[in-house]
Amino acid sequence: MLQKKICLVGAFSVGKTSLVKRFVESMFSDKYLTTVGVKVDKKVLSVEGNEIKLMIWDLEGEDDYCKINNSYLRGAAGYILVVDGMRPQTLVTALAIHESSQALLGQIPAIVAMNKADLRDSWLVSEADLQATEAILPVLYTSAKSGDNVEVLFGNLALSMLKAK
Amino acid sequence: MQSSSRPDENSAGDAEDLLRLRQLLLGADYDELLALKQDLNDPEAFSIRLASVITEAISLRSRRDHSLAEVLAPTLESAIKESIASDPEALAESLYPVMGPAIRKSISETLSQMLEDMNQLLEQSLSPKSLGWRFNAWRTGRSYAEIVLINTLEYQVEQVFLIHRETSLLIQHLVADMAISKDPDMVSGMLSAIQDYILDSFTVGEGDGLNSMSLGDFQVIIEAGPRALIAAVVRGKPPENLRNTFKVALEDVHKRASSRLQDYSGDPDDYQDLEPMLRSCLRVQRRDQAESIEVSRSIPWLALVSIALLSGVGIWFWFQSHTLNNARQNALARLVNEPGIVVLGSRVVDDLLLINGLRDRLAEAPEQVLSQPGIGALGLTFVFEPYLSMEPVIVERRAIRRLAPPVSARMSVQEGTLVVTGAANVDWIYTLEQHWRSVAGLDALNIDDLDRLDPVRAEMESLTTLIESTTFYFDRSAAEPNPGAASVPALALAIKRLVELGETLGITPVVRVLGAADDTGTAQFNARLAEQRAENLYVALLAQDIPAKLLVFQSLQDFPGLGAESSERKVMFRLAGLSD
Repeated sequence: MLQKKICLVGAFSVGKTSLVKRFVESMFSDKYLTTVGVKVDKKVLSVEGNEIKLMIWDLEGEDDYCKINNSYLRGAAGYILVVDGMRPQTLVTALAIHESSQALLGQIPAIVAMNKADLRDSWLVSEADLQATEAILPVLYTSAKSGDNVEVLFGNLALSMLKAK
Repeated sequence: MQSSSRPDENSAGDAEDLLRLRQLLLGADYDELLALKQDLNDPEAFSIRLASVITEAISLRSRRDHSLAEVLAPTLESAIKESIASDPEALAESLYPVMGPAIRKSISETLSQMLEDMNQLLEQSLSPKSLGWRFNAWRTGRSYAEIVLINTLEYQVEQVFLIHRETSLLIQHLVADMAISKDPDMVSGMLSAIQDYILDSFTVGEGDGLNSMSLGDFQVIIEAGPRALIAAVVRGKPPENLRNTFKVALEDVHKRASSRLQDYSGDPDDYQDLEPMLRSCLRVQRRDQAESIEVSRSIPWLALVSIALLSGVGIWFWFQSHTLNNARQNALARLVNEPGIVVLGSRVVDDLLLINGLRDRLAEAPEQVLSQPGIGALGLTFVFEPYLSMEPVIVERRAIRRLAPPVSARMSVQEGTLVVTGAANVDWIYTLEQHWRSVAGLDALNIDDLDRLDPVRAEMESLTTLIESTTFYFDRSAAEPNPGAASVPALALAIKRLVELGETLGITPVVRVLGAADDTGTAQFNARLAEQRAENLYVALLAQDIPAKLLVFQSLQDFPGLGAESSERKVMFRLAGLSD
């Protein structure tokens, strides 16, 4: 079975871990995220008749003091940029990470997950910013709380990775 | 035309010049060189030359390096394939002397390995040491297998991960028997992550990395190569040189798959060929290996004794069932041979042998046929349906039962014919002729040798038999019959009836009363005693109203033909005058 490494990246507390939790059965405790800065989970998906095993690396959130550890990104075949719709700064961070990831990994499939879609009414990210983002990257509106679009998020990434191959 | 022929003439002249020049320069050597050139160009001549040196050349080259083997290997392989395809017999025949011993050796090695394993197992489960382990397992709540492992293992490589360095994806994963492994994909991911974390967290030199971790009984030994790394989970205390094993395996992996690993697509199926290299990493070293080698060299008594015991019990059970089976087969055979019984089948139901079939009601009961001590232990159950048997013995029994022949007649059945011989009275013969057809199994009646008796004659005959078989016995020297002797009135009755019947035919029978005495005492006394005994019975018969003219008494000694019986103390009777 084909296996691919993907990474979940984004600013602090945008809901990366919650998204992964929605999607996989985990074996390691979340403690790893804060100690080692990463936690690895697994999910087998069926995409257009192809079985694909996703090794999902949930990376510690980035902020002003702590940058994403590039060595964790190495070898990824795709990544998800998670953004908290209620914090416009997280979109900026996500796009910054996208830029540095592209520099490191080259043009590989990536998706923006606009998370906390269940609280859409209180979003502070401007519509203009969203459109600008959609112009350069695929965007999905997800909710780890309700589970909306979570499967679609990973499925779409898997599909683009299969096509990229 | 002229211009075209000029160059030819020119070149012919040049060649001749050249030839002369060469001959001038080289002299006689030139002809030899020409001959050599000829040889090289002519395949046949060249082959002859090559043939004389080819063996030496091969020998020289194979001494220098192994290239010959490499070059010839594919050719040899296809030659063997070709040979097998065209005629498998030839190769099989030449391999035959090798294959036999090889197979034997392999079988004997497998057997002795089995014996050793069994011995070890028995030792481990029966020895005081193992009982101690069991107690420990119970006390600590760990599994027995784990305790055994801890106590007997120096070290064991339980899992081997081959991890792609760039993507941290698992390429191959091997687990030792009985070892437990959790999701190896995630483990390999986290292992790589932790390695990266260590590298990033501490200042280390280029090329350094996390190369081992230890926790309790476990160690994770990591050997990293440029494209892939091997992580081995080891229980116990591994020796220093174990890492070398992993190094060698990793080098082999790189040698074989370096380019594939550079651009890993994520499909581990592409790397199945690496498995044997990793398998060599799954090493086990037992603590008492030295000791166990000694044990295996000595005779594995425990195993041998257990095998002997087991086979003894096996043989006993086999013998039991064999004797039971034999006895049952014998019983069945006897039933099959018994006339009037047909065995249709038998099957074993709950240890009982159920025999079913047909039985004529005149046949012997099966229990009767098999009546012998111990038959009850065979557990036989009979289910017989009634039927009419046509076997001669049974037909004969049926005829006797149905037709009740008199004592004087004998019946037998021969091929469906009822043969009656002897004598019978006409009334019975009439009944026989009327009824023999109603006896199933009879096709014909044969009474050619049957004497017909009329009823009077028949009765007289049986009365004669009765009278002549009546004997009175006497005590020593006594003239009166002893109290247990025959009854005089009954004898008298028979005589009277005989006389009565004789009258109807105009016959008057005479009864001779014959007395006898034993040999003790003088002959004269004995003669008188014998006569006295006869006379006494004569008188007794007279007292029963038998006319005197019908009776004669005398000593048995004087009666012809009965001399042999004359030395017993008795009186017997003979009839005369019965014929017309």
